[in-house]
Amino acid sequence: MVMVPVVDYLRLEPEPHLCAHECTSCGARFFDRRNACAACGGQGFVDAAVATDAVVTAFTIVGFAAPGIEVPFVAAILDCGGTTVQANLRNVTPDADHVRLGMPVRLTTFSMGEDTAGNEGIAFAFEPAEQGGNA
Amino acid sequence: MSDDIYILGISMTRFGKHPDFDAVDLGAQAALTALADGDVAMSDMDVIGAGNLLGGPGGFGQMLQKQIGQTGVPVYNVQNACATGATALRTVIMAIKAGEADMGLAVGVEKLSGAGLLLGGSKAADRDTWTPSGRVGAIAPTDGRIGTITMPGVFAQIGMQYLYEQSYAGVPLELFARISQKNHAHSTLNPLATYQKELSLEQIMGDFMVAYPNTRPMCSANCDGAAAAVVVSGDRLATMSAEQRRRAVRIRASVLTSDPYTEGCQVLFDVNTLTRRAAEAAYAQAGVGPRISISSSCTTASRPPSWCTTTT
Repeated sequence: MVMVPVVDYLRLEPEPHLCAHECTSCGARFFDRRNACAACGGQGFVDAAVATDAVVTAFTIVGFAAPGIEVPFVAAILDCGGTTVQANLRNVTPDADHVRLGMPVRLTTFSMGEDTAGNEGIAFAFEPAEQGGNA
Repeated sequence: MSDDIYILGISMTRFGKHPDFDAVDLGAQAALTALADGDVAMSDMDVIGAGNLLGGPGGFGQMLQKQIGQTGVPVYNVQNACATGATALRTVIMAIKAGEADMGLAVGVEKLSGAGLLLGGSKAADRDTWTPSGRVGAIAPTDGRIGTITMPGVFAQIGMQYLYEQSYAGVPLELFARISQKNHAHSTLNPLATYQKELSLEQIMGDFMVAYPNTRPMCSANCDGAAAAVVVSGDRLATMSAEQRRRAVRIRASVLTSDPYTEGCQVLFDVNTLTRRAAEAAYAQAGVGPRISISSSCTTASRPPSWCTTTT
């Protein structure tokens, strides 16, 4: 069985972390396949590991989504040591009493299930960094 | 020679659900009324700027002129998200500035009733195997799995990020609701608005939560409508009737920007920087400041945090 990350910028080894394309000219970081740097036009990129500890700088609790998406869920914008990341929050009660701006969180991964070939999809989210979470 | 450019005629349809009118009908209604308002005809137009993002026929400008006057003038179809109609207007302004036209028609139309979520989810069937594809090598649709790309959710986060940056100590839901309350109060003064009903703070806060802190009345309703303007050069206007000259409104500034790179902007849109730049450029062009100007805003989806940005 092979573990397949939900997106290619989720790296599972040695420990799960996000990996950005970092511009070798100006240091701007991107998660998608790049043609060039949006900040400076540079065409050289290196892999850069993104911090797994983060702070919630924005969030929304989505109550209405496309069919097949379980609601409510918490979508958040995170400051991962200076790199902005988008992710869902897990292991937290999805209401405004439990999710708050400035909340410290950390990367977590979980199974998306097996495909027909027996390979396991691995997704990521962030969860409260405090002991035991605040759920 | 004068470089001044004027709006000679203008019109907008009532916004709402128009099941019996297609995009061309709505566009034609706005265009014909704008022409009548300016006391001119399609045969006077040198150029057409046609804006449509969603729910139109494709090649909207050509479809429109086949209904209201097929004169063979150049047609520019434009798409620019929330600024699509404004871009159609600006296209005509640029054509006149460039000396290629003396008078032109700008039309924008959207047909959105029943469109549902404009972004998000996946139209593709789930695959049998976890196979990476696309620019981030995703094995499944990312909306809902890695944050949200729905408009209510995106603008909720843009508003919340602003509150975080400003160290706002109050309750976001109530703040957002107060803005919505003000906007709904304004709607009662606009006979062309889809909904013209005043709502209380309690009604707004207690309604269905689409994407916290955005409840349903804070989100733009999907609806249908069109607007049109006849634009004319100062030189051409000088040859027209006294009544036309009296009613024409000079365009003091027209500016278009796109979002420049800022850290994190590809994760969550930075809607502030481009707006601020556009406003600054427009004020400079017009030679006025915010204290004495009236800003115009394009329609947009789920934009409760009007204090975050004003599209100019």
